Amino acid sequence: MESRLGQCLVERGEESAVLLTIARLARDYYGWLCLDIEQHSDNDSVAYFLISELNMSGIVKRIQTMSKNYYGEIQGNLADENKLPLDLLRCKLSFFGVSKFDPKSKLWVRNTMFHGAPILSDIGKPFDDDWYFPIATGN
Amino acid sequence: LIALLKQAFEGVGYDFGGYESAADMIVWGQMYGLDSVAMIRKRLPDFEQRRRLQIEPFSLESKENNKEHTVIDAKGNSCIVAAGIALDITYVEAMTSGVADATVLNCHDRKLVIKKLTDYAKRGVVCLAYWRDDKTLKVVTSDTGVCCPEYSLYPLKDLLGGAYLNENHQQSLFVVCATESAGLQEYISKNLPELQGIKTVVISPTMMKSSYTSVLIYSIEIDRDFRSELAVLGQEVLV
Repeated sequence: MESRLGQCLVERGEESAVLLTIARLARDYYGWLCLDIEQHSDNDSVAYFLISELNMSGIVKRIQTMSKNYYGEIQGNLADENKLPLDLLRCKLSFFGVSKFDPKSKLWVRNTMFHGAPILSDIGKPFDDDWYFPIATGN
Repeated sequence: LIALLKQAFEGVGYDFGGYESAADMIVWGQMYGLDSVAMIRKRLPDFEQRRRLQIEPFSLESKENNKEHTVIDAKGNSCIVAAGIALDITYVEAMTSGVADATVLNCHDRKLVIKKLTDYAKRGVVCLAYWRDDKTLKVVTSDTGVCCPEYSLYPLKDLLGGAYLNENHQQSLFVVCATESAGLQEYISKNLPELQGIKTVVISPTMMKSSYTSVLIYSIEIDRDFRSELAVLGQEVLV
């Protein structure tokens, strides 16, 4: 099944929503953790907290592994109704070397993949192996 | 295979964090010769049934929490999540008191704990996990920094009355972490006299390394039916 856009307070299917609201989850986790510290001051490890709040284990792992990486998370409110999934898609595709994005609507984007990659007739001949870097305008 | 397993475990209701762990543990176990794919395949009907009956795929309950000895009830679930939490706690407590242990009651797939044990050994502690069935005591030891642990069996007829190995613990898993080998040895002599008996090494660290290399060369083969079974479990997940 492909994901689609929806409004969780209006439409059905929230239980199948793709987990995008990382910032909100981190904030929820912070709230629950503060409450746990208030109630169980001797719990000095997040491991004890997770026994009672197992559903938080994902966000805990995410914070423990990603929080020090500046580019580890999308810095934005992904639950904002004006946020376009297309922008996330462009970001992800750019990691794969996609360039020349040409959005055609709010739902799809035309782009160029493998720009400058050697073609069949180039194989066996010398060629620059830096083709996967974006080409600056004018070059 | 990792992606397929992640989706299958997400499909049966594991939370994010949980389904990644499940996939990692299973594939790691298969790479290191523990035959975890076959083990988990036998358990798929149970996962499927839990999904159908809307039983939580994992839930834990702290039965006893006195810092030196933590007891968690996995309520008949796979140890995938519970073993991770138990080792998190023993690691944290070992760092302050030198040695700590935890018991996970009512859990399955206990062999999968070996991956977590290895992860913790890489963090600089020595670890031990043990569990029993009706015939044997299964013991895994992992030394500091060592990439592969040793998995051994001891006959239960040599049971010497250690504190935790009685009939009530047919489905329990015990994990121990210590900051020093001496601390773990002291724990063993106090709580696990069975380990003085005759052991049979099931998988040595050398065998595990060899399996890993072999899988890198020859890959992991799963049959079409198993692939379909996993795909069915993952069907509910949006992509």
